[in-house]
Amino acid sequence: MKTNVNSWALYLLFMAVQLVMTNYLHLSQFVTLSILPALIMCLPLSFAPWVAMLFAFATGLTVDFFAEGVIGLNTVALLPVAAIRLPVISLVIGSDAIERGMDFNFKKNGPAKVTMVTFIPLFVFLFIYIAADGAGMRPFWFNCARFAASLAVDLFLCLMVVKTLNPDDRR
Amino acid sequence: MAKKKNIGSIIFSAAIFIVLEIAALNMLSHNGELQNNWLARSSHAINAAVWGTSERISHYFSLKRENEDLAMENYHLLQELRKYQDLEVEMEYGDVETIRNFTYIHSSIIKHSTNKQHNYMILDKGADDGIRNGSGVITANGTIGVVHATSRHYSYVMTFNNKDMVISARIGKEGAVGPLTWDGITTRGAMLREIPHNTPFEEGDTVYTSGFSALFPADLPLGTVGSNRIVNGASYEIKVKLFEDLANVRYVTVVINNEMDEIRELEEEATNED
Repeated sequence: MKTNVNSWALYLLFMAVQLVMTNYLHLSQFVTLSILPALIMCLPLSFAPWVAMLFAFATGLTVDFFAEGVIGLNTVALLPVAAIRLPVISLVIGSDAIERGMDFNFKKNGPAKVTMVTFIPLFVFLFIYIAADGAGMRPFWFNCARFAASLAVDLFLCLMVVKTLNPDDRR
Repeated sequence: MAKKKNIGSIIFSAAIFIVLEIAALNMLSHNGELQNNWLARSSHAINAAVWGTSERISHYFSLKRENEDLAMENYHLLQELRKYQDLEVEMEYGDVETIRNFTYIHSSIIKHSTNKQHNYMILDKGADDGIRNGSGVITANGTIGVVHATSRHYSYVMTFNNKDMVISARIGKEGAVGPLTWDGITTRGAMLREIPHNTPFEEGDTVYTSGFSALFPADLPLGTVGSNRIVNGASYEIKVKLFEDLANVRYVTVVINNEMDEIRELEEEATNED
């Protein structure tokens, strides 16, 4: 994500979209809609891990505060995403991108790598979110079904967010 | 320098993560009843696992001392039991001196062989502790062997797992008497021989020391009767499964017959007269 005003406006817009989805869009009890992992992964690569964590904390807390549900749930799940952000990008795309501060996108890195960079943090986020939300009260099969369905739907949504926040470079 | 900076930044990021995550978990537990209970249960389970593991580790390292304490307690309890058994016999026979003629010394094994045809063990007590050559060595589950040699602080014991070792044994507390020897195969196997063929017994009967040898007190349990066969049409040869597995013994009691000298003098005198 570039560090210009437009990009930050898009970031805030997507946060508002997340609030709307959380409050008003309930597809099924098996599907949890979330684009927060994509927002965090699209933060500028020049940001240090601790900066990304502060962003994750603030973003998660804002969504928790204004959305239905328990305060702290999104925050608890989003912080590990910020922690593994740079290691995941370094693993999938390479450490060159981080050293040069170059964002990843579909054209430059290919759909497979971008999908993997989105999938891993989303996996971690949903795992922690669903475990914390269930709090040991839901049966194991329910949590597994919810995890699988949410992962499939949210991956699609997150890829669209990545496509928007990290557009292909113009020639 | 760059490496140090990298490590420093990693540590700093980890610290920030821990602080923020704890803050988030705190908010979660305060704002959700279910999550509060879930976090409390999880923390109890983690505490139990961590403290349980450290307790098991420290318990493992204290096992040797516990083992020694238990062996000593066992020894004292057996001594008490023997006193009551002596009292029981005294009430029946009215004669204390002929029964109470054994001294018992607790000892631990510092070296032990089990894989030879002539096995032995070395004990951590010797002449300075009162042990004499020819003393019996027992446990609560049976006889172990005989002291063959002593130094000031150690004793060499020829164990029952030895081809030359013979113990006088009896089937039941009033049954027929015969020599009990090691079968040479397992540490718990023995053979009881020269039992008259008209002796009634059954598989599972307990075999005891007869008391006819000056080495061991009478009625020490040794093992149980197994299969048998008649030898030369005249006597039984009976397999005995010993209670005590000599391979696993750590602590023993040395039994010293206080009247051994008098018995030996009598035997020598009788032999010389012949």
